[in-house]
Amino acid sequence: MPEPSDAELWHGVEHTVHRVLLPHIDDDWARAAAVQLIGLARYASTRTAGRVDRNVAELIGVLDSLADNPIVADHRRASDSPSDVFAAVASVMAAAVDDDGVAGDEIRRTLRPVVTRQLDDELAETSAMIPFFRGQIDD
Amino acid sequence: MIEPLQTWLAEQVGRPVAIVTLRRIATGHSRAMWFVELDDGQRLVVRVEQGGVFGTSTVDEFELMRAAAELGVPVAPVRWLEPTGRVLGQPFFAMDFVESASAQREDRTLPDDVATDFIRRLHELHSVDRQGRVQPADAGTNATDTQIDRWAGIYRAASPVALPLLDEAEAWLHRHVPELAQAAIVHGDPGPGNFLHDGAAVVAFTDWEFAHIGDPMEDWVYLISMRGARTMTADRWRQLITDTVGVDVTDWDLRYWGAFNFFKGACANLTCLQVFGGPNPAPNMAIIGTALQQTFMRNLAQLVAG
Repeated sequence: MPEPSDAELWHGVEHTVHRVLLPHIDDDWARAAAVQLIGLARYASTRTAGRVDRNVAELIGVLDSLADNPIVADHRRASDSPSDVFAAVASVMAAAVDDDGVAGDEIRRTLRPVVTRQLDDELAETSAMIPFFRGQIDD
Repeated sequence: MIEPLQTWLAEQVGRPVAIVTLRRIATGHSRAMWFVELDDGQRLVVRVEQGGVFGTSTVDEFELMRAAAELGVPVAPVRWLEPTGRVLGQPFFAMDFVESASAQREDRTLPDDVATDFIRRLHELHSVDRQGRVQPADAGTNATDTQIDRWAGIYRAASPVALPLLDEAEAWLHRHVPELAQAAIVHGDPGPGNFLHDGAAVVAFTDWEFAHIGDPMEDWVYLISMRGARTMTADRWRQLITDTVGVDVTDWDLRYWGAFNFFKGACANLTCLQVFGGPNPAPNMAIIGTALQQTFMRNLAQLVAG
């Protein structure tokens, strides 16, 4: 049976809230929530799938490339699960703060940029909701 | 909401009362704020928790506001506390409605007189003799370390996975913690939008949920770099603070306390995502827990890197 895609469903929500409901909402708080909901629906329809798995795979690759780094050696991950990989990366980066030497520098030069770039990639998508959060709607 | 609130207010007042006006004040995200007018003319604001947003406590806020009022700090008089959630489903308290000329929360413009008076009153808050009221969580000398640990604990309770940039920042903040000359009452979220004025002077500090005992520099940098950033430039704020109360905010202060405040915000904002998946599935919770939290984390990462 033909069925709407997730993107189409979210677009339907966005359109209905914006064009049908919002013109009839007078209460300030309800209007603010409606505008935010439009932003949320737009984000849901456009966000990239599979981000966590890709990020985890990339971090595993970087950790493995740093296997000889003593800080990484002291904080080996228990498994390749997202939880264990992020925990290991977190422990390594925290430990590197107190290491002003070669090992810490290698972490800051190699692992940290990957973590910040992954954050930038996600923020590039979620930040589209901020104007709606501030009550701004594109007509 | 009207009936249970009306019944509870009658219990507090000690006689029957009727709510003639109940209107949500469209400001703030961590607490639902309701304007209430009773049939006897009393005007109140009822401040209701939203399922644990920001990890802050209604009870602590109520007690600190009451202590602050007793110490002469400009603050709305708090009246009654309901800490159990049995009346409205969430803890809340009622305070007096305070008349003001202040603009809407998101308008960060300030007349010069008001900005100067705000700085003066904030400095007075930091300098007040606590007289044994408002106890620190520790002996006071480790107040900043205590706050770092507090926010890290909130982050770990709210997030299902570790966030490496927060763990890194936690270690960095502890490593570089400034020596604390004198622990003080710190508002934690000071600046335009979080105080009322009459066009010339401060009438009341509002939104005390982040208040604690700590280092006053946290407040100065928060004012300069965050809540006051749309009001005037950092250099203008720094000069005004020095000229008004003699406090010098150094470049290092801006970096360290800027990182601290973004750490605080990034940890606090994570609670919104947890709340969105539970008791408060409102769109603002999802946006704060993602876009705003990530923005804070990115700013934090830049400051830590230097």
